[in-house]
Amino acid sequence: MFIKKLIMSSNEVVILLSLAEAREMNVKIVSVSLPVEINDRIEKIAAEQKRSKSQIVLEAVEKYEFDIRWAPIREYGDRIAKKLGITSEDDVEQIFGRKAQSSR
Amino acid sequence: MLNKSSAAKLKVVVDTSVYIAAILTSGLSEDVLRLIYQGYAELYCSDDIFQELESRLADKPFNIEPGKVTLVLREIKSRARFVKTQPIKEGRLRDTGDLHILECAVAANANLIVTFDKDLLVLKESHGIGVIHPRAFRWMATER
Repeated sequence: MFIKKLIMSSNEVVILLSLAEAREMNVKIVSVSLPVEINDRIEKIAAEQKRSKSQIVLEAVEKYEFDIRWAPIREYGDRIAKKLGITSEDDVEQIFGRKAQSSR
Repeated sequence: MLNKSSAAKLKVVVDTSVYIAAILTSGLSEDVLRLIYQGYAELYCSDDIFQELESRLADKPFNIEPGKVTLVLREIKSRARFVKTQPIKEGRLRDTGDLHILECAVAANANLIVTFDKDLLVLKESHGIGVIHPRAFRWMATER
């Protein structure tokens, strides 16, 4: 009965394949509710990038995690950089370059 | 592009210069940390690197306030695997003050050291570990 139902629905066939994949890859299948428009956008990005929807969502979460964790540090860092007249990464690189020269 | 699967994941040691640049500016260094968060590489650290970062942030010219230093260190600690280092030799190193970076990389059996420090970059390789600029790391992770 369950197998018949899976064959009848293409979405559920995908789920069956994902479960097999999940066991192998140590991942968990979860159900998340999204507005239809967001789901459409994820599908569009996945098609454009030739990647799975799971990969697109995973990458978005990883980027988001970095942004929320690093944002307060960067906010403060911007203030310090301004105070020191550091406007680019090259300026920081110069500070470490000076260390290299002075140590010789 | 680097493979994100654990089997192929690179082990990297990030020099304090890169951490500091990622705190102060948007750009390469921030991208390096972002890519590590995204799982392109495993981050390794040692107590010596941690202490160096702490004192560099707190001292001149940065003078970062203690609460913010703690925030940075806590964030890095949550991502990095810490290794116990052993003394090593590297006769080509111009500044022996950088030896702790190499020691950490050797103890971690790392593939790469990512740094802005010219004294390290000039080595190109040490103990079988590549020494690369953040630009090269970002290229490896995103462009290849």
